[in-house]
Amino acid sequence: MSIFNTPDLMAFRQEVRAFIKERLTDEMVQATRSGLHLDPRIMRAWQATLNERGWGAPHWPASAGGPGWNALQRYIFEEECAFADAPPGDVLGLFLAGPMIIAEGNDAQKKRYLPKILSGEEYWCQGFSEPNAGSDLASLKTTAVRDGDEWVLNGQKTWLSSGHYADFMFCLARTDLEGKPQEGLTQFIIDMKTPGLTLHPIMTMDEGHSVNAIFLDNVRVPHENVIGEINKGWTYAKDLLARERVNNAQAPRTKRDILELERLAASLKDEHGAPLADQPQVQRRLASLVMDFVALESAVLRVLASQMRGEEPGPIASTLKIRGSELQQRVTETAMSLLDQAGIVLTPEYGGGLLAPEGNGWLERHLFRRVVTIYAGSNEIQKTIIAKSILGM
Amino acid sequence: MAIDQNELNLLLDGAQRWFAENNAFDDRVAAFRDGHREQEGAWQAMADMGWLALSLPESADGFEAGAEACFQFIRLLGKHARPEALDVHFMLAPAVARACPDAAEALMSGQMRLGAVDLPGAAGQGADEAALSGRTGPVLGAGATHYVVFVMADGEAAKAVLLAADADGLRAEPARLIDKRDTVLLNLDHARGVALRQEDTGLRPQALRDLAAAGLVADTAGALEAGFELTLDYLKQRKQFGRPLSQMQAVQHKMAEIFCDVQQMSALTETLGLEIDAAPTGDWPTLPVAKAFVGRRALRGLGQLIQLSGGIGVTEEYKLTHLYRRLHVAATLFGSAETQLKRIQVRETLLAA
Repeated sequence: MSIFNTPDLMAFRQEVRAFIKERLTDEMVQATRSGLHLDPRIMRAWQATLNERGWGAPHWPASAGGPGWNALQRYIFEEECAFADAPPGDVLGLFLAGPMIIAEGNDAQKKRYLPKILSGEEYWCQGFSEPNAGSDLASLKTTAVRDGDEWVLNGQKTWLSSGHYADFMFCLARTDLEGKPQEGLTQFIIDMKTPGLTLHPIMTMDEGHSVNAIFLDNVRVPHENVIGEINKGWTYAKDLLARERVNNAQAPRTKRDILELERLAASLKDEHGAPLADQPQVQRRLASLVMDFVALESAVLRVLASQMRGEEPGPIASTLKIRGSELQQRVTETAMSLLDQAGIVLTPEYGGGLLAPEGNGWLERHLFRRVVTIYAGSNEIQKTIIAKSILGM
Repeated sequence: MAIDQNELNLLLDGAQRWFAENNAFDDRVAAFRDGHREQEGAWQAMADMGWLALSLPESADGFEAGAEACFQFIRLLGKHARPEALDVHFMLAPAVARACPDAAEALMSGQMRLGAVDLPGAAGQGADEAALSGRTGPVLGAGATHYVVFVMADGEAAKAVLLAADADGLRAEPARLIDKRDTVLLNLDHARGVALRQEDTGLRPQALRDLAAAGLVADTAGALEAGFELTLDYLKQRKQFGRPLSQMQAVQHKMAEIFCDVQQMSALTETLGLEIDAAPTGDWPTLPVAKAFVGRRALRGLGQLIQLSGGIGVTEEYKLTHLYRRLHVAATLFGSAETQLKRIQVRETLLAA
């Protein structure tokens, strides 16, 4: 019996499962299965469906529109969505912009932006990294200069996930050139239709388009779009990134992937025609992934429980990001190893291409997931955070 | 559970103080070669402080603490590398008391002490369910007056038997565990005890064995944490190239990686405790996972702590080496990592809910 197996939680799981079964369409499932970079129309539709039910943002406080679930309920919900191949939500809006506005935004901003994040009507992107400010984010050079009731922003941002269909960007810009690099930064909300913004796509090695670069050329932003206090942007960014790291552990979706991996092992045959899943070395490899997954899941649940008590996850979330991202890569590496030649030949007789059903999208996932140990603060940065912030080294 | 967290905290505070004042671990550092022996009078003192009542049922005047509470105590045992097998007592005494109600008082007073041991192979099998023959592995809890023997057949425990240490047909061969704790290997020739049947204990023999393994999981969480703290302190003090080792990025990153192991070991222990308390008769899908994690990750983590400590980390008087040795015991007894990994069924474990 697992800790999820209480009558209340089992009933809750059934409720979630029934809702998903009733409302998740085949089109949504097929779109989710057919590739990592979904049509935003599909994602918006599913988000709207969830929001109608009051489940638009399970991790938000009830006062901001969350359903008021505990950590285990929230986890069960994410798990059921992952198992059913429901489209993912707008990570940037739901996990980053929304919680930052809830924590630091004023009432007008909460009223303006939160409902449309919940409903899926408005999507967000993140303007943090710059060509020369990746891991060293505090060295960013994009400036914001006050001009009456407006700020004028100039610079360049990169790695904007969803930037090509986002409605808003939360953007970190330098508002004070004096003092430490971390002290003069401010968070702005920028409408993506604002004149002066020029977007360029960046193609990733999985041949997908999910990230972008953007140039800011005299972009005028009203003062009311400043989040929180001027020059406090770094503090907000640190809290925001810690929240993101909990999500970056991607535990429910990794669980789904390991289950899919087991099905892959059962479907593939060795040279004697026996299923790979029957080989002791394959079984041990899968069991080892399960071992590390359950260890990750236990640690994630501990942090989720503290978040539900109103505590910020803080630097401990870095451990989840490290272990979660490493495990995601190990899962796809195992799939590539099992696929053998079908994993390297891009013709129908073999693997059939990056998205081919024979490979179940493993090739695409394998290539794209090289990024998971790099984004949201590379794992090396996470280790430095742990060493300095937790261990006092 | 009958004991609440405040009462438990008082007990834990008391234990922390007593371990610090009666530090058999430090004594062992001073006299490493003599062995890591149970302290004279320790069991009596622990009985007097009420510790032995922790997991026993309220009906027998115990505190009836669940696994989660017991694990908090067992982690202290691991942290202090205590030689007394209190973990075996906490985890198995309730089942023994259920099967033999008359034994509860003796268990609580420390007059009856439990050890636990595997009897590999099917040698112990026979028509008489309480008669055992064969040679066991090392007993965890050598000072025991009674042994809980898990009889193994085809990798699964077929039965569990409570055997008096002075039973006819039992010959105990003194030995040492790798961490210098005393142990005995039992040579059994139709030795008769009391069969710990499911109808009496409420637990299948495999579940009893898993409880013994669960105690080792919690012990490991404490030992790993202690090793980590010790190393962190050392790295902050030890200077090379004119600065503390803790300021070097290669060292920082390695410590951050081991910190992930420490966190996960700790989280797994908590999950396992919750799981056992939620279903006291089993099944516990986290058990094989957590026990495998001891052998695969915790042991590796402690090995890396030795690496970071440099030369002193491999010396026999350094505490880290004692913890490393202790972890080998925890990793091996009642199912090694390889054995536990074989028990993990992907779907069953991941979809346990």
